[in-house]
Amino acid sequence: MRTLLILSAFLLNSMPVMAQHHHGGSASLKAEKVPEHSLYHLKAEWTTHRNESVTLRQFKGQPVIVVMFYGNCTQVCPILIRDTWRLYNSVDESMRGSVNVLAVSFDRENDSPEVLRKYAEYEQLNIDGWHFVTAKETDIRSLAMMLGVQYVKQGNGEFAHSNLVSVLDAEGKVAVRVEGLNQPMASAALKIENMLKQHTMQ
Amino acid sequence: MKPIYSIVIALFLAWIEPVQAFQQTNADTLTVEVLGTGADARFVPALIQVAPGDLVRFVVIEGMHTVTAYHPDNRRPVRIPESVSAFDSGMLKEGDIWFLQITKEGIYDYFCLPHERLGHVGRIVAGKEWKTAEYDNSLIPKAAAQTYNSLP
Repeated sequence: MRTLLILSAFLLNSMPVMAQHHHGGSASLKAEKVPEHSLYHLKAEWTTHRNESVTLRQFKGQPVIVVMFYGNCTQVCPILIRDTWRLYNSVDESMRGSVNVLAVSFDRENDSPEVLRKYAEYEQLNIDGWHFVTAKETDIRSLAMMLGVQYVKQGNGEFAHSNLVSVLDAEGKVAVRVEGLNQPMASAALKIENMLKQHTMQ
Repeated sequence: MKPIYSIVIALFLAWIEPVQAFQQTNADTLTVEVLGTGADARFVPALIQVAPGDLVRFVVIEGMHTVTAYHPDNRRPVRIPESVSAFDSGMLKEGDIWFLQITKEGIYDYFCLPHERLGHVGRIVAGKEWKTAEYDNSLIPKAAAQTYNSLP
């Protein structure tokens, strides 16, 4: 019920406004209260490709890149994952270790932690900070709604879905949305670096 | 009138010189068609032989594809000659054309990012001698290895 209320309140705010709106971060960061638009309101537990359990709130204080995909995709997901890696790789090397990546599969049926581990290993992305995750269907759907990602399973087992890479700031709010494939990542990477600099100075 | 003739001749020479320079390289342009939208995705021909300096022209007939080198920069095992930079076309869609210039002898293996696991890979052999590739097929998806094993 709480999740539903949060989602309703969240959805009343349009995504473009949310993406551009900047809140005074420093005061909020020091308080225990989670900002209204923060994705940390989601209490979901995600199971990683390392078979570990994580929550979004665990990443508090660090930027998180979030992408939604599925492992069997033979259309755009490999490019979406590559775009996510391009963004991660565009962040200054000295700061990269403070960036987390959450690659969320919406194919619960096929993408078990073991399958995701193989996927991560083949993509050479089984690296610190990268988490290929699955969760309960309702949690995956809630996250998708909060990010503005649409997906629907088709009759042939494939998913039709949005192509979106998002960045959550240190408070869990959506700070950057990169829509579409093969987009330039320099601007998003710079925002991540600024987030990290700002957070270090606090 | 003489200065005008000189200008015309100079302009003509300026126009013709690059063409001559291009012809002197004897470079060829070879075409690889990119077909299919899923399990039928393929490069046609999957294997071509070129000479260093040649251009390979990839023409996407249908679907969405990439032409991506097997190289650590693309998060894959290396299957192109040493000291050659990785290449990646980015996403190509129907009607797109992408050129790749081969500068050194050797065997260049490449794949389509969305369809690699379905065996959508190709090979360019550059040089006069037809060599056998010595790349480790156990490091790439089975279907990709099968495609390479089926090449002459």
